[in-house]
Amino acid sequence: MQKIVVKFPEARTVYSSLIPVGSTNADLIVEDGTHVFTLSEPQDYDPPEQKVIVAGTSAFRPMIITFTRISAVVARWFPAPLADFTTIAPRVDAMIAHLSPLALNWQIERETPEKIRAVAVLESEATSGDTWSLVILEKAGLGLHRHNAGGDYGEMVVSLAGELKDISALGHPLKLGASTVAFHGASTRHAPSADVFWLGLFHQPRGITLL
Amino acid sequence: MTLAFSPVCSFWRTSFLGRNRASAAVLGALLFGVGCAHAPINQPLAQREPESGYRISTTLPKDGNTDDVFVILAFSGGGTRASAFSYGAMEKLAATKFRRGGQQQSLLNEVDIISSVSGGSFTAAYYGLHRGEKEFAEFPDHFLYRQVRTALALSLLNPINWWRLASPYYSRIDMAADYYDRHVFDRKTFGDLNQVGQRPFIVLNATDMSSVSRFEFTQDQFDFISSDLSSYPVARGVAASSAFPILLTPLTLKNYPGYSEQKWMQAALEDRDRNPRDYAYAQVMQSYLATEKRPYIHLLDGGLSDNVGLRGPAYALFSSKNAWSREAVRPSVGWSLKQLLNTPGKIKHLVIITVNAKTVGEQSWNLEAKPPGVLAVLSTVANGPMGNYSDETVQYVRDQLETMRQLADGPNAGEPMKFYPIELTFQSIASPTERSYLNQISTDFQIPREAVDRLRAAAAQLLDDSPVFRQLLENINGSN
Repeated sequence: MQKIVVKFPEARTVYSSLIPVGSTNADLIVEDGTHVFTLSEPQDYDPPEQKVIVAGTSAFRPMIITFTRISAVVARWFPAPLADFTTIAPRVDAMIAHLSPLALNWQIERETPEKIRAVAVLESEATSGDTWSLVILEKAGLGLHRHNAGGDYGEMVVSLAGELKDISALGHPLKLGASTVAFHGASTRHAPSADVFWLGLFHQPRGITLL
Repeated sequence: MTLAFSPVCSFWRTSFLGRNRASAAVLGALLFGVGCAHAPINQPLAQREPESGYRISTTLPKDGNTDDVFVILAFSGGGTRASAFSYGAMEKLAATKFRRGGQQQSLLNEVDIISSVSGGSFTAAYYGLHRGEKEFAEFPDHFLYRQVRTALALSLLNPINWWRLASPYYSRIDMAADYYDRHVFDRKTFGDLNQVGQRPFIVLNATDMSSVSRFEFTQDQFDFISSDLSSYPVARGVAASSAFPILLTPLTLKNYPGYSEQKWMQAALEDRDRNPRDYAYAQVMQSYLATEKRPYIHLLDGGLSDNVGLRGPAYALFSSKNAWSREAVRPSVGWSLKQLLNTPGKIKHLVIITVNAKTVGEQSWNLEAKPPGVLAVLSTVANGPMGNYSDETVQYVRDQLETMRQLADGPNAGEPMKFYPIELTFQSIASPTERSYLNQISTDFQIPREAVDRLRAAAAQLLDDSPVFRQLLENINGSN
């Protein structure tokens, strides 16, 4: 048997391969071997699951497994005043103006005067392909793309404002409203779009391939 | 006795009977007995419902039973010797009172799990169905004093049973189960056991003949064969648990398709080197899902895979990867004993009492120059490995509890959970005369009345003499 502590800012049930084994931030004694850890709902934590081989712990040296709250992920990119999008008009130009203090390098594409897509890469690591980007869609979509293999997930989508039409991991239609999160597996493909307006954050641990 | 018909019989009835009624009547009568007698078949599961069925997660602590004193009883095999010894331990627990919240409480009422094999399964199943003090007091007359071996032998003289036993679908174990069903368990089913809806959770263990692994009569296990345990007679679970090889035939279950691999199995199957125990367990459970390869499961005496009945509780205590663990399908919550153990303050006292009716006798062949005979060798082959494995299992549980105790230490450690591993064995009996007497009681479903009474008394005395048991009483009386 081994000792672990699963850290998260609040008390949540910890699951190992969907079996509840205790609570976050408490000492947990679990069996040796492979564990796929997740937390109870809401799914506002990152990464969505952690596959860990638990071994070599002791009473005073537990294995620490850390989950981060998604809001903390968002806070990494937006200072608190900028993270409030509720009063901003649902338009690409208004949102870019709101985010101007960040001095982002926006790439703006207009399919028609009404269909606008704006993308700003926040961080990109060339070797692994790990990319964080901010996307604004106004009556537009993103091209069909595949999430490259590797990493804990293929893509994390954090919806910040508006609504995104997407597909779930099981291929079912999905609508992501503000303050929701979706994860796509590695090697999956999709082409999300917004009927009206959407602002969100993408994280692709291994990058994407446009199809 | 419920009789069912095989597909061959059904075919014969529909295609032949209609054409030639006169000769069909005679032939039919013969076939009815010879080819068509069929033991009750376990039914398919219409729909898996994790919130219902006979499961530990639906067997709740009620009526004074709480999780803070969590008691597990494990009953060994050994025929009526084991049944009586385990009954004696339960009588003692019933008579042992402690105070909680100003009220007197029986320690028997605190029992949460009873896991049993073979002879011990009679006591466990009977208590599961008859929890009232008065009802349970009738167990000796209902079973312990009963001449079961003679009754089963006489059943063999009944011509109706000759016809039944001529069928390939009805064998000696079914005849024994039928007897237990009528005379001991009043035709109760696991659905009746589930109706009780409270602890203790009764786990009757048999052995899967293919994998020589533990197979328990719980819905948690029956999920893996997509079968509904609720309509199945308790007597058949007990019969499978006590189907001693050769003397009794294996008991057969139908394995239905429909269940799918669980997430925990996938994780365990990656751990052949890191956790061989969980790996082996997951492999066995996975084998039930291959229904095209294993449409039938044949069960033997539970003692062949664990003759002290401790393995099931041990797996649930020390690993989250077992059949009792229920996966959480969001947004509902799952369940596992691990979660219970890892919740600070939930279980304060974990008590594991193993009632082991194993005998250790002087062997006469040690005094003779000639080699022991075939029966002596067969007895050694059958019982020796079981005994060794039982000792290892008891030690394994003690070691794991000690590891848990050590790991619980640390900078965040609160009030530590207290562990009370207790094993009742004849070897611990102080009186050499009594020890010798009990060690000579054979493994049989018919032992003298005096033997039954002395076994009951011995179990009670052993608990009284156990320093760990005395410590438990001191602690729970002091903390309530």
